[in-house]
Amino acid sequence: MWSTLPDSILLESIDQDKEPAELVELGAFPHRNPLAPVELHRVPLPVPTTRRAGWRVTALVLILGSCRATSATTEQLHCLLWAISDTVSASLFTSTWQNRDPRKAPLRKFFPPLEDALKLALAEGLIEPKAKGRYSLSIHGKNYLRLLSSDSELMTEEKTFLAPLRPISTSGMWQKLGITKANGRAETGAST
Amino acid sequence: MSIRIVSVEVASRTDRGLLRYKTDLSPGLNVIAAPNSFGKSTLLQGVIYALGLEGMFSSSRKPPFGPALLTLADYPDGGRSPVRESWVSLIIANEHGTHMRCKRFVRGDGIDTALIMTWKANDRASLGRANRIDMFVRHGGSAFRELGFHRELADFLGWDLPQVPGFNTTEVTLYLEVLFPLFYVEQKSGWSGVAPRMPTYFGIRDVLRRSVEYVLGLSTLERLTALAAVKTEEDDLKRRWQSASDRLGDAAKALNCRVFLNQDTPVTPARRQHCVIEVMEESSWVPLQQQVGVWQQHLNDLEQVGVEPAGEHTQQAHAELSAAESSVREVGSRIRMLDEQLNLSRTDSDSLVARSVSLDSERSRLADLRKLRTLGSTLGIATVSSDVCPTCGQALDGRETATGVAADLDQTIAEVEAERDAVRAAAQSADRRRATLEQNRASLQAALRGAMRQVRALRDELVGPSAAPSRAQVQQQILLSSSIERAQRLIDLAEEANEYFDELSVRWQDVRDRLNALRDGVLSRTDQQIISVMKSSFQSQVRDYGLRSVPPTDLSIDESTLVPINDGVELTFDLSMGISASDMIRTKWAYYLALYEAANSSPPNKHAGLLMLDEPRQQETDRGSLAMFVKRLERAAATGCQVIYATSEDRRDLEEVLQNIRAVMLPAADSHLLAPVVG
Repeated sequence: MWSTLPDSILLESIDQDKEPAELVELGAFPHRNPLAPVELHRVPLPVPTTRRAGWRVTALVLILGSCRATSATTEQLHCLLWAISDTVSASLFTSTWQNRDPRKAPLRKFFPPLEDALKLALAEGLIEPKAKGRYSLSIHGKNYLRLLSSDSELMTEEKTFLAPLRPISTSGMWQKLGITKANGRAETGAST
Repeated sequence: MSIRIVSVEVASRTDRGLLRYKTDLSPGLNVIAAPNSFGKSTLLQGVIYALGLEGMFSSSRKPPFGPALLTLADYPDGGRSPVRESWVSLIIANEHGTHMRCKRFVRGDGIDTALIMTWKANDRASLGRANRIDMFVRHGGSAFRELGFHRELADFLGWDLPQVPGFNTTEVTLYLEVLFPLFYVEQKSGWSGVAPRMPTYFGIRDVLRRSVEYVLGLSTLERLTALAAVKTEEDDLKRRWQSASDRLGDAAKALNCRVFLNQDTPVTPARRQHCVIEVMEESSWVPLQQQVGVWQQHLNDLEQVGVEPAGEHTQQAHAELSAAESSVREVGSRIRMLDEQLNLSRTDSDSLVARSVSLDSERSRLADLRKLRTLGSTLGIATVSSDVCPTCGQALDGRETATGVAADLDQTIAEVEAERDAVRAAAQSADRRRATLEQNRASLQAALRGAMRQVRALRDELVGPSAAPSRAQVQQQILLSSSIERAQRLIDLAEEANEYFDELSVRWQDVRDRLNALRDGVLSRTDQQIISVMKSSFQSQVRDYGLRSVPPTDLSIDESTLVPINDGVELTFDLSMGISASDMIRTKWAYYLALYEAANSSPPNKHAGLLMLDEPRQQETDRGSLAMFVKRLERAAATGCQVIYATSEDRRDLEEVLQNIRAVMLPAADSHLLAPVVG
């Protein structure tokens, strides 16, 4: 069998231009000789929605659109983007928001990809920075929000999550999540 | 209701400036005469493209244009310039006089070509003040979503697109892409074959026939409504079948039996099989009818011996007690094993269901993201429309993968869908396994209860007075009598169910027959009249056009397939049939015009009142035939059909053909359609 296979078949699909480290997936072809050289193919890897820049930026616009005066602090955005990114976190957030158990720890979450989403949204001119580490929607962002709102079948999960929270104010949100604001300071610590 | 093209604009913006062709069209016969490579086909394709109908040619998403609108535009001075932006803009009007302007980009920086900008007003003058509404085409839902352009276009035309039988799914919408091939013959491949070329990728069964039926206003819709009613009946029968089988299953479950129906869904009498009820006996399932016989025999034996005093039964009672106790232990251990398997199976099912839900959610989010691209392109948000960084232009999604190569949305959606299908199949399999385990457990539980009852009775008997009758024997007799009686009731119920299933089978056969009859339904009297008009128009035309290969009387339109036939055989270009290529063109002209004339003869038709013919004089067809055809086109134009006729005929020849014909010549003075706009 080995001797009947021409070299061109055995060697045809090895990508000579690529370094082995670049080639990530092993491909095995059962109809080929098992002793034939292993073929390596670079395959595109699926990226979940929440890790796609387009979704993050859009979710950020939707979140800011649900905040009072379309403005929120970075801490708020961390918590809200974390909640909106997953059904489990969304249900935890909603249950805490609606009826927080005072014996439990306050809900404060950080969502590292927010940093990236903020940079992109700023570069796109969708948001603009405000004083005290706040961000608000720009006119361009508001136009995008209007377009998003015009289609009721678009981003339904995210819209359903945000609808009962609206309008989200900074103090109101932290109060609902069990975080009190010390006089003259930013929101810190936990309440009982 | 018909459509009228009021004006058309094709434009291309290059580094050197704007190249454009813009003209108004008259309601009647419009002729654009220009030499080859002028761009006549671009103009006609532009009309189709602006209406988002290029899917009538193929499923490809590539705009159907040459380099002048896509890459490199030629200038009259011989220079060339790269195309930066190009678009087609169209103003159309309907019978109510409502005007709509549609503008679609062919190429544009950050603009998705699936986007069509629309403006709608009561008259042309008001279009300038109308609000712009952006709609989409070439994506799922464009024929029925609120912002789907084809939904809007169908409403504009007053067309209610019906559902028709499909190949893969039960029903498919009769999309606009399968109707417009009846109004436009493009140059490249449109003139091959006699019948119009229809797109097949929509999976519509008998697509040409359905489209022609709809355009002619045949009773297709009524038949389809009747079809829907029979389908409701079909669904009702399925529900009844399911409900009866559930009832029987529940009754069997109450007696720790199981039912084999052999058919989960309704079947015709020929395929009907009677159901079988089984009961668990000594760890294997046996037919209940057979087991009833065994129980009856056992009961008869017991009754023959009679009930002995307990004292005379002691030795046997000890042996029976030992056997019953061992049976309790054995059945108990089997139940515990089943419980372990059931717990594993439940965990499997729960995690599979959870995964399936999260995949559904992911699928829906990915679909949203695909749609967002269109919205992003409207506002020029590069991050959303094309996943690239607005500052450096590099791909963003690749950052999230180890290889730096991220799958695009379509690939990811395909992967999620494949995983979802696999998870659903696994969940169904886990559910089936759990149901079987639960059934086995219920039967074993009943056996355990029986064995424990026997142990109690034997122990009571062994400690009771010797003269008293044997309680174990009495209990066994009672148990056997009760089991036989209940089993008999279940068998009777199964027989009743069998009769009911037989009855449902007969009705099922009837429904299937009616469904088949409706699907291949015969034509009503009105439909026959319309077809007859089409036939006579077709025959008179082929005669007038001077068909030579076969006697014109041999040609006709087939009533069932609605395509031209020659002596009963579908007409195709085949030299063995003795049909010449130019005669094929004659029959093609005749077919398109016959369709219009027949539709026009029955007022509630759905013909667009539009015919766009790109180079109809193929195969050097005789000029006399062409003159007759143009005369017939003029007649159609006089009855309200807008005709756009593109030709590269020699000017003198064309003048001869158009002699005494009322036609509007469209401007075609320059060397190319797209001329530089000065100033």
